[in-house]
Amino acid sequence: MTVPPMLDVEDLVIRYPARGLFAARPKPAVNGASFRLAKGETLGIVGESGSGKTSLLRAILRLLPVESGAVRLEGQDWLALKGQALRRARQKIGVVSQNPFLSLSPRLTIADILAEPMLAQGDRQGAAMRKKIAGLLADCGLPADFLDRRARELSGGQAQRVAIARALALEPGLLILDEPTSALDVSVQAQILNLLADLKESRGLSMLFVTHNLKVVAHISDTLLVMRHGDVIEFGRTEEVLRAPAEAYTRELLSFGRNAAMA
Amino acid sequence: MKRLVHRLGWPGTIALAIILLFVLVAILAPWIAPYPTQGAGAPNVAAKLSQPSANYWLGTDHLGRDILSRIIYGTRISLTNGVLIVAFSLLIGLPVGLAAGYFGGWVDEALMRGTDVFLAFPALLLAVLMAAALGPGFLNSIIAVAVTWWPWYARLARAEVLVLRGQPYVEAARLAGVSHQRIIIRHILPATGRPLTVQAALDVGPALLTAAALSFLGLGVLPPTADWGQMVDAGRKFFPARWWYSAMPGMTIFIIALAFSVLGDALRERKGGPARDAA
Repeated sequence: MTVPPMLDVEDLVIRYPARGLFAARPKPAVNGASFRLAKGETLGIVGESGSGKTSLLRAILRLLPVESGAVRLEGQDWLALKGQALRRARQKIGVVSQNPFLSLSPRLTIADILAEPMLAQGDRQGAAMRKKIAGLLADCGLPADFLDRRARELSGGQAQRVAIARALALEPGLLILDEPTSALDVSVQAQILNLLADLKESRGLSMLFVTHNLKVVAHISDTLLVMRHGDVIEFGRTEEVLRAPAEAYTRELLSFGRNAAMA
Repeated sequence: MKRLVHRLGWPGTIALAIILLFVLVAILAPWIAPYPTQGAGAPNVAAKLSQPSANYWLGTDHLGRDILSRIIYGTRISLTNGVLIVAFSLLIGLPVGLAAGYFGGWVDEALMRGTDVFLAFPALLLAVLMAAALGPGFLNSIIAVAVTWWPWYARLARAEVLVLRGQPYVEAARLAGVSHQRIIIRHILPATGRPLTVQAALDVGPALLTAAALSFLGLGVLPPTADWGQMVDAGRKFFPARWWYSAMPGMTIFIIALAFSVLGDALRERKGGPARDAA
């Protein structure tokens, strides 16, 4: 293949430092994770809490140091970037986190929140930026008169749309979503998932979707990665993993999904 | 008014009123002092050391100056002392605490161990040593107290930043490539500002008390400028026969220090309002 994958993770080991000088080295939080995310595809990462999915995510976002392994973003060594270069390169990844009311500043207006990433990358305030911000809002299904409001005046779904708009402000190729729907109620969840599917289509995004809800992720992802106790126990095309889960644990997760669907 | 009483309680409201009254007195000193020239320092030897009377409500000092007027003029010195000490301390402590809390790691270690050095000395002793080294005077006494004061703000700011740094919206800014400088100015500073300004406003009381202690020891402003601490000291020679000379400024210091302390307690336990923005 000549086109490098969007994200290529190889043998990633993440270990939190030992507490105290003579404490035993803790078990790694992520023990040799390897996977690829092709351009324009969606990868779902599933696991219960404590499975290491959040550590994996934070390491990819460079919020956690990595013990060993490699992460390549479009073929570029992502872990080698430092300081100013890393700050610039961050525009290639958009991030949406779980709770929009925590991830949007309570002090800023929506317009300021959406302008922040652009200002950080050196864009000038002005008509062009205002137009772009209005476009972002429209793309995420929000009316333009939201610009002067603050996050706390919005509903959960609306606020999460703002968070998605911010993540897309710098036109990243990769969108990383950390449980983006788990703080929302079910009908709103579906709307957000549809919005993400539309955006992926129209902008050709690659997405990394982390969740503990296998049902949500099966619906939207092309490939699936299942984690447990820091190990990647399953990685493959979504249909295959769902049809013939190789591990008992995946079957267990799946059956939970079915029960929830029936309830 | 009703809301204020509800939030602060009666003691807190009264304390706030007393403090505001002192501020007003300081601003209006030349117009409300019965003997403005004596308040500013002009002697009036004919009436020296007279008892409190209809002419001199709080008596006169050893140069015959009206003590009430002296106290009113001293309010200016004391309040500016308090405010400037706190301002200087914030000016040093806030950046140190912000940097230590935000960057963590060795920056944090270096800065906080540095502040620990200052905290290791008894505050008043350090202030006295500093004042003695710098020599008496208005500005010197302020610097001397501020040197012992700023570590508290550094610690307070650091604690606030440690909480804020982990907030998802601060992290989101980082992930969008926002520079440290911008994150601190746009996100951290506004959120730290509120709890810190409340603390700072309350510290004006203890700060002016410390400044009064320095001037009692002869390390504050120089005569003929009126200053409460210095008046208490000057009156000691005539105590207890001419008790009013020391007692009146002493009572004033007591009242304002108490008011600040009561207001502080009231603010800490206030009802009906979050101490900071939600999340």
